[in-house]
Amino acid sequence: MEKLLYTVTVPCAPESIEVLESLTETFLGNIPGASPDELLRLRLSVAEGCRNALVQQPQGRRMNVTTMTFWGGRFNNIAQAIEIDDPGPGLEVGGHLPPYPPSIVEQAFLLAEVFDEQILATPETPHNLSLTVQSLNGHRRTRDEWVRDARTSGYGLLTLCKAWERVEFRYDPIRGNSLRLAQPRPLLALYAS
Amino acid sequence: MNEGLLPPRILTVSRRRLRRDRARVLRTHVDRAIGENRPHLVLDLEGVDFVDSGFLGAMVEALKHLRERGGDLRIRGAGREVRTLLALTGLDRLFLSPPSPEAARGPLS
Repeated sequence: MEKLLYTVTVPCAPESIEVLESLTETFLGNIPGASPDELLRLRLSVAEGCRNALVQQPQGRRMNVTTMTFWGGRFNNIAQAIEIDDPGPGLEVGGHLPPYPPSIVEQAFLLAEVFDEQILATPETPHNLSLTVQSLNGHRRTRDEWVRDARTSGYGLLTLCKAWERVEFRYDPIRGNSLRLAQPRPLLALYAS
Repeated sequence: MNEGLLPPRILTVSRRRLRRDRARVLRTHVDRAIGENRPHLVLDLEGVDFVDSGFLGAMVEALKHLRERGGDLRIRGAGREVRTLLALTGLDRLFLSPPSPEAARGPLS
């Protein structure tokens, strides 16, 4: 069963990012068994998620608040999760969105699956796959080609999806958005024992 | 090798965090570098521990802009956090990869 560990609500302002990051660090710091590199990736990606929530808020709505909730435990194979709720326009997905298609409003969806095509279209491709493709084609991409194809947006989403195994986003322009980051496999040695 | 080019300009960052709101400053430096025919820039990120997605996008935009004019944008002094962010986004290959043989002989060496 998932267990609510703690929740915090802060004003939607860039100054709040460090508060949320500090809490995240505490949350992640209590996870034994995770490698320092993994913890760093998670922490940096949460900072990116907070930035999306706090900085990309609509103009003139600075009195809004962002809520961050930390979950631990086991439910649907989720070991722990962080939820970030905010009134902003949501994540920027490679310049394609927002505005999001009406069909996804108020619906939670898996970003990693829904936007798989966009993610693969970014400069990053799975390393092994990239090497395989290169060897099959007998062609090694030059740096010029990487530069030419590199996107100038969408890196926030990419960071989140690369660091967390499950990234869900619920888009709702009226009531606010909800970003949920979760690790299905247990990082917690506590739960593995 | 373009011997007419001056050595790369090094941009030192004094902030711990680089966010989207600093993108305009980077663009100003890029425009100035191109105007002065010094399209090779090195961004010194020593002491920086976070670069958000907005600024990463601005760096890519700057790189494209400089490459179109025969220049380049490289990063130096990146710490563990910045290197991790670049690796997560795949941008390490753009900013941290070793320079090509031509560039190694050029102003960036």
